[in-house]
Amino acid sequence: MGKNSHSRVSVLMSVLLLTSALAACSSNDNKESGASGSEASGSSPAPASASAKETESKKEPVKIKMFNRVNADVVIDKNPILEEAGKLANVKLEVEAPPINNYVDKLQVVMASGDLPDLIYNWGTAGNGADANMEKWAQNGLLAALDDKIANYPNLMKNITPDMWNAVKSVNDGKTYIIPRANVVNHWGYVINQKWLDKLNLKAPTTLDEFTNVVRAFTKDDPDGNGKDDTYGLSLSGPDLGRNTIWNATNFLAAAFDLPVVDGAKDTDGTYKIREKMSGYLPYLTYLKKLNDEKLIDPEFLINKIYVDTEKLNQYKVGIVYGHQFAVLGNISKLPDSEKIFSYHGVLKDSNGVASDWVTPAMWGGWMIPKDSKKIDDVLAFLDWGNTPEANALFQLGMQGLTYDSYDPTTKAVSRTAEQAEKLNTLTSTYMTLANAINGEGASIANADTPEKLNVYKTQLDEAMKQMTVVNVPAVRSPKILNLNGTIPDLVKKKDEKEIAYITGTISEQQFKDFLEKEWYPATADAEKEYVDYMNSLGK
Amino acid sequence: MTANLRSALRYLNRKKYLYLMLLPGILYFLIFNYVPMYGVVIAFKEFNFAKGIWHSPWIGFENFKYMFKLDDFYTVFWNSLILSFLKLVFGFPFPILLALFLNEMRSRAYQKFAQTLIYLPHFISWVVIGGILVNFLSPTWGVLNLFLTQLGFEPVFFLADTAYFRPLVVLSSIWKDSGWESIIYLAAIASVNTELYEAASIDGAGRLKRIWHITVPGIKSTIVVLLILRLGHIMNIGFEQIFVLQNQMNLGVSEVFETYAYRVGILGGRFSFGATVGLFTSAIGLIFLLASNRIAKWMKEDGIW
Amino acid sequence: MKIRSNGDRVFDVVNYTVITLFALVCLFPFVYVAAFSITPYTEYLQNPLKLIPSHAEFGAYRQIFKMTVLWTGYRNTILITVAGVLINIFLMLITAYPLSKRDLKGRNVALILITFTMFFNGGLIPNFYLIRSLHLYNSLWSLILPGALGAYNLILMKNFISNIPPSLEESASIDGANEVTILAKIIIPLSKPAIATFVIFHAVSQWNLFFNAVIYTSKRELWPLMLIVRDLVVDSGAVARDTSDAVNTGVTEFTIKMAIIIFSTLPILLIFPFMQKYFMKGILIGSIKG
Repeated sequence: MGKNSHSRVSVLMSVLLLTSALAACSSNDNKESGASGSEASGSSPAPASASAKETESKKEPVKIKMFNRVNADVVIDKNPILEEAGKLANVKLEVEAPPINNYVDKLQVVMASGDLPDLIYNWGTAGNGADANMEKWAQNGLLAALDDKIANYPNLMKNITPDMWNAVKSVNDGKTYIIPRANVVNHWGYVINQKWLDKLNLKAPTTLDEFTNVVRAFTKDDPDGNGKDDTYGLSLSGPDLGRNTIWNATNFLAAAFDLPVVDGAKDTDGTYKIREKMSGYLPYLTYLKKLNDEKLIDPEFLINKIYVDTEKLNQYKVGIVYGHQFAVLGNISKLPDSEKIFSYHGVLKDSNGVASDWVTPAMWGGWMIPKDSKKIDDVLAFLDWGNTPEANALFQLGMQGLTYDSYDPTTKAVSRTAEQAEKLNTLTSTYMTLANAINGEGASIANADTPEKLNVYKTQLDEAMKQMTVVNVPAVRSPKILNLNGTIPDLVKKKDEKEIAYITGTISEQQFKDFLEKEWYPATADAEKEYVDYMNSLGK
Repeated sequence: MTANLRSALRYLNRKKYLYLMLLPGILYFLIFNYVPMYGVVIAFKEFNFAKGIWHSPWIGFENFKYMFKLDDFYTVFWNSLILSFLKLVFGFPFPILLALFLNEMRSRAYQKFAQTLIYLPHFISWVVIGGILVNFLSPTWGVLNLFLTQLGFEPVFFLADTAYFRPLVVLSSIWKDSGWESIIYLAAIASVNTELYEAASIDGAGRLKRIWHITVPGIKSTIVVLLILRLGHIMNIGFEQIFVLQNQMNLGVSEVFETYAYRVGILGGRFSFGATVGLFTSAIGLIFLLASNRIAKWMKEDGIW
Repeated sequence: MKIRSNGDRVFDVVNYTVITLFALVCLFPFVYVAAFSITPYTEYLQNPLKLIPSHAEFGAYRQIFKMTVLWTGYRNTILITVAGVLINIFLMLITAYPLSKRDLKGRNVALILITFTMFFNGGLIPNFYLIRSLHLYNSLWSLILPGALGAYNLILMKNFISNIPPSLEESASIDGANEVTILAKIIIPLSKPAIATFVIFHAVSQWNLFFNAVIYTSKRELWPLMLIVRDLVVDSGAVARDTSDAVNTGVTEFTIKMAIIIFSTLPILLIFPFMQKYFMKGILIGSIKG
């Protein structure tokens, strides 16, 4: 009997709990659906009335629903920086920001849902945003062609260079469906453990021979002095499956072989060809093979996921990884005294003493506007504001008093308290910018909040630039070469496998060459011809 | 006719509580599972983002033809099949043994303690555990290889060596989930009538004998049902596990239908192709489930219906 | 005390050894993660196998306690876990019980209908449409209702209930009790081990839920904990909030990641010991006698 009443009490308890939980949820639900109700009136039926209002009086802010890729640390709700941005640009911003690791998943669903936000960020695989997804959405008629509108927006025209506009044009119809998010020019080089160099009495390598020496010393001469043979000279990493790590920002090493890791640059003989035919291709792979055979390189260099190489650098397992001028200071949030341990350097020189710094149009994805949108002009005006120094400074630095004490635009010196730095992390990040650079420069250098740190950045960049020769590489908008993954997916995968097999010694040089001659070159001949024609037509 | 109707109504009336109880569940499945099921039609269409599922053009079996033409497809098929088979053969019996062993522990306190530890890995998602595992196994900085080298062995490149990949998947899923899966068997064991045990111990039956003659028959129907359900998922290896262990060097053995469909179908925005792959794997799973359910019935077991 | 045979003793030794070893293997990663979440980074670098730090350093926890997103995530996760489990168990019981009646007309049709859902689903987009048209988009309900009743667990539950000896029910129905009363008074008490099992099954899956939240919500205030943790741990977003504190205490990205893992899994680890008493043997007998 006692048991029975006990169970009755527990049933009652759980019913009570259930109802109270439901009540809690539904109150939440009401709040949310109320919000989404007002959203709905903002997006689909209302634009007409909203823009009508706008013509009456310029004062009424337009509601813009924005879909952006923002890191998880940033709090979107009641964010004072977003509110400030709305005030300055005379808009009412509503930001939806899915987690960055699932951004593409959600974007695909939103694009298929028939209810599009007013402003959509596309990251794209090539970094310029004009990827296969954009082409498909444009072809399916989801995106607005912006060619005859953009000329009306002076800041857009000023900040976004013709190179960038060309880089995002659709390969199918040549129209512009995406507004590039201008970025700072990244000068890819390498980051090295300066303490190890100092301890071994070496200097940062500038030639391949010096490089090999340093890598060997880092591996064999116990640079961390722990008495164990547990370090490697070099590591690489890659962002996703489907592209070998050896092509991911490895400019510093490929430059020694005159091998551009980006499409759109000439070979040593002055002609355009696909990478696999270039004079430096095989020597570069052979060099990596040598490093691998002699165990001078992190054994996982072919499979490291992105950032794992930096983690190994930070754990003093490897001494060199790829990186650009912002990498050392950027690493401070991961390893707090990073700038005292590591240094950044430019690419290696080739056999003629030239260090080629291949630079592609500096952009970081771009912005798309739906075709059916009634607010295209309002959204463009907002992006136009986004390309002003004022907007860039707001998103990168935050607001005076809130996230920093003082800021000098000429030297980019910022001073902020620990508390303000913490606020900055939760309120904004470079992901929030509409344009991450104005005329090629950002308002601030991330983490350079003391004069010493700023100085570290400037000296290292100056030194690298003195040594390197900048080669501007135009964007390649040749459809076939861009779409090999769609036309011959199996073979692209096979080529990746063969490269790895050659480097790790599973197949001989002859077998690798045979594959290239018999399978790869014939299958890509058509695409190569179109590519070469395209590149040559640009020159004229 | 009216007599039939009347008797049907009488039946309904007699069982009205049962049918009323069944109603919400059935409604739930209709709304949350059957309403969206029209989506499978995009496997026979060329999905157009602007037109949506209904208005995209029909293309018949083109997606299937394309799929069967890809070299990759056969690799993926083979990889999925072999991994699933290995997981079934080694992974399925393990939790049963674990439950039987745990149940035989004399010290209740120790049993509880051990159980709690065994469930630990399940609570951490594959993303996190996979990250730790990849790190542990690394030849560069992994704890396991550090250990091996201290013992004088050469470091092993577990995640790049294709020979290690399949054992790794099987072992890591046993490690992560078998403790957890044993819960369901323990629950089944807990419902076995204890009087039977008492009678057996009076008879002087040994431990193994008792396990074999009382516990195992007591949980047999649970085992059968779980086995049938498992066979129905023959083409599902577990997306997250494979996804985190996959890399550019083991892709030849690690690509399975789930990762393939995700990469091509969702990230690539080719929803039609993703649905085609999904439909194909579902059909295979369904065949396996129906066949195994039939076999179970034939062997006088309960089956799932 | 019963007399134990030699065979019994050997069995015990083997049994205890095997289980203990397996338990230790399961425990190791946890100890590892926990240890290095409170170990100064330099000590970890010196010896990655040393699991006992010279002193416990809670700097990493101080850092993550400052992450407001994690706290809202906690709130959401607890809500969707509690509500999700209650709805799940309720639905599962009332559905599984009629399905366990072998002679109920239409039962097989219902079971086939249910089993079928294990294989075919409409995919992301139709599900997204459904959630939107039910007005669940951007509410925590979208993280509770989809998946509240799954074919797999339902079939197992049905199987458990049908294993209950029919004689127990019959005596009650002779007393004139209807099925609702029988379910509440006899079936539920007898199914405690099964119910406990599904409570923890569903609680854990709700706790770890993240993909539905990506698709069905657009507001960060609604993100459950795991979604945030994934973004912080997978991407290198796990960064120090207070760099000066981090410099002083030797906290780095690595230590913060370890601390986040512990921080986000500790509560759900507690559910098992809490539910464990329902697994004890003898419940069946006890409830009949009571």
